[in-house]
Amino acid sequence: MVAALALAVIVGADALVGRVFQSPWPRPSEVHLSYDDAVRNAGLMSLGMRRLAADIEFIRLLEYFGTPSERGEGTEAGVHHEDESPSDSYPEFEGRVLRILDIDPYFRYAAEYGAGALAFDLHRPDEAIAVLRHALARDPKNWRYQAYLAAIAFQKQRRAEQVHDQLAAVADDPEAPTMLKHLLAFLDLRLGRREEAIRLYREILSSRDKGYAEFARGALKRLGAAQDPARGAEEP
Amino acid sequence: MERVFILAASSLREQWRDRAWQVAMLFAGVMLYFSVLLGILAADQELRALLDFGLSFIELMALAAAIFGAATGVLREMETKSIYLILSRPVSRLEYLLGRYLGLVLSMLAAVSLMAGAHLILLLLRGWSFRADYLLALYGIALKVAVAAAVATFFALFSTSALSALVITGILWTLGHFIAEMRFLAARGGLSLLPLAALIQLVPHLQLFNFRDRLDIPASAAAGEPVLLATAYAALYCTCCLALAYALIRRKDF
Amino acid sequence: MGVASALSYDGVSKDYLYSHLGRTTVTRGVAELNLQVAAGEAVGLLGLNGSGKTTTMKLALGLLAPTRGAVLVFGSPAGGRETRRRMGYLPELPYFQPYLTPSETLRLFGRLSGLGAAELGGRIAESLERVGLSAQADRRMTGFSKGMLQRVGMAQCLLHDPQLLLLDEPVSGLDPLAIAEFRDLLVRLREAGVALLIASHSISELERVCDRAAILAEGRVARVAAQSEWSASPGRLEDIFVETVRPTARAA
Repeated sequence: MVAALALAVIVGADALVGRVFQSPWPRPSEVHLSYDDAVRNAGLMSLGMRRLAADIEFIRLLEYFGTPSERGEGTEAGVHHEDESPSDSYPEFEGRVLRILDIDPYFRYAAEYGAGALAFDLHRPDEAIAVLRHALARDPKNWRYQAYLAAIAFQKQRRAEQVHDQLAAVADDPEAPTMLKHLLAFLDLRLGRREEAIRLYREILSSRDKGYAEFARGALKRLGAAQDPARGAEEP
Repeated sequence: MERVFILAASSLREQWRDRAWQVAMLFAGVMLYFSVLLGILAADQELRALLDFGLSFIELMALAAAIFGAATGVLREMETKSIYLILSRPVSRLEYLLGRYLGLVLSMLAAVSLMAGAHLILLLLRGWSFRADYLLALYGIALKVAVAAAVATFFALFSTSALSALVITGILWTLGHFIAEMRFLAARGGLSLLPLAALIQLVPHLQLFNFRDRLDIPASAAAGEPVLLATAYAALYCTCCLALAYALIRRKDF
Repeated sequence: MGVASALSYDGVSKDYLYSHLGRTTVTRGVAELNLQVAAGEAVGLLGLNGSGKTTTMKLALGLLAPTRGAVLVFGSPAGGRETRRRMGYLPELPYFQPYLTPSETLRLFGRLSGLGAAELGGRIAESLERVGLSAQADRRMTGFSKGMLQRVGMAQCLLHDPQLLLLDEPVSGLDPLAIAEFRDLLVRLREAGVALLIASHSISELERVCDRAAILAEGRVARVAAQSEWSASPGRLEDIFVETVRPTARAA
């Protein structure tokens, strides 16, 4: 009798929770992971560790993409992405970002980092837009994604000032990718705003992204600026 | 009720002296340190990675220790016959069961608190700003592990094998995170998936307690955390598991 | 019977059911057990291994439920909270948490028996004194010998002044001096009106302590011998035992 009652209560409680609890995660029918990807993340997902699974995939993405130095970015300040034709490098980049967002659709940083790298480093704006649309589907009220879309649209029209304005609005957030400040610094140099670029590079020095911090150190040296503003300009 | 608390205190003390717990805590410490290293690999997202790794390991360690304690505790007392000395006293079998379970939950809470304390220190040293939903994440972990311990307690008595109880609880733990996927699958299948459809009605909805995984979900995607629902569900599910365990132990020949 | 029974078995049978792959095996623990233990009486339980001695004890404690018949403790059905409050039990080879001291162990059991904090300290000291463990009261039981653990076992069953004691192999692991001390303790308890049911392979000890000896064979009381049958001839109980169980052992 006790056992039957307990089982009945469990069934009832499960039914109630099934009705009332709205999971924020994508429904199985909405997830487009490949079989291999699903298997790779199955372990952590089965333990209810979506965020951790997404973190590990993000670390893999960073390893895949490498640091700015590893990518051979700008050997001197002001020379950056001169060639804006789409890069063939890192063909899996978009897929990897989408995989992260399928696991954790609310991993905002990954979406911004991914879209930013695709649009402004690899010059593949369509892929960047696909990433942002994927993110917006789950978080439609995120104005930051809208700002990125606008920046990409301006990038296509080669309107650097407008690109800068859009990205500057999102760069203020402490959660914004360091890559964004790195890009803004480049745009500032392009637009002749040397002091602003130096200010941004100095901010990047204290970033947790050691790759960009290292690049910023080099950039400041090339610009003849001290890493510490109190020291004034360095000797060239 | 006094006897329940006496047995709970005894169970708590026993858990903490158990080598398995000590190893689990040591392992947790190592994992927390390891999470710092991994956090550094995550560059700008170091704090997020440190937060996620840490909370996940805390949960895993608490789970391992709790279900091990639940699966082996009563069975070990039956094997060593120390249960005779307790039940030969004016202690009901229900009091015994509740006391053991309560002691296990208390020791799990203590372990989670210790690990969380160490985790918080690591986070704060790395520049993290405390946020209240961290405590909510811990609360969700505690509820989840309490449910798992109740399930393990039942299966230990049902199967009279600690290994079976551990394996079955582990399986239910993973299934409990896949309710939506199981429903999706069951909806597509025919008669062959009827057992799955039946199982879904009984498996605990562990995603409900996953506050840890929903830390940065925007308000537009989730209307707040169902803390009351999760608490009530955990209490109900644990009570039912313990009632089933009591049904087994009530008439058991010792 | 003029003397009130502390413990009585009335037509008690206990069957153990073992189910495996759809097949159920029935093993008889005890069959048609009729036995009484009066207040102030010591009754010994003798029998070969598997004869039902431990089953008999567990039935009195409510650890087992009888398949048929009734077990009464002080007139009430066995296993009730109040009956257990008046009983003490020493299992064979008792196990205690090794990281605890005898004092801590007795404190736990005392509280479970309903003893208050105020009286517990005195009771613990007294119990340990009775079993000769006062010097080891606060020493962790890791490394305790079998005999010392047996003494702790005895102490825990005496702690709450029970009126009925069930002792399963109480002198197991004890040295001759300790056995003599235990024997004297049991005699004193019996003279104080405590009912004793003692299961033991140590026939010589039962001879010295018990008023009667029930010999179990294949779960049944094959014979109940009174003290008068062996008191005149030391060692006579062993002869009675062998005469009773030998035919059964041969048949098996």
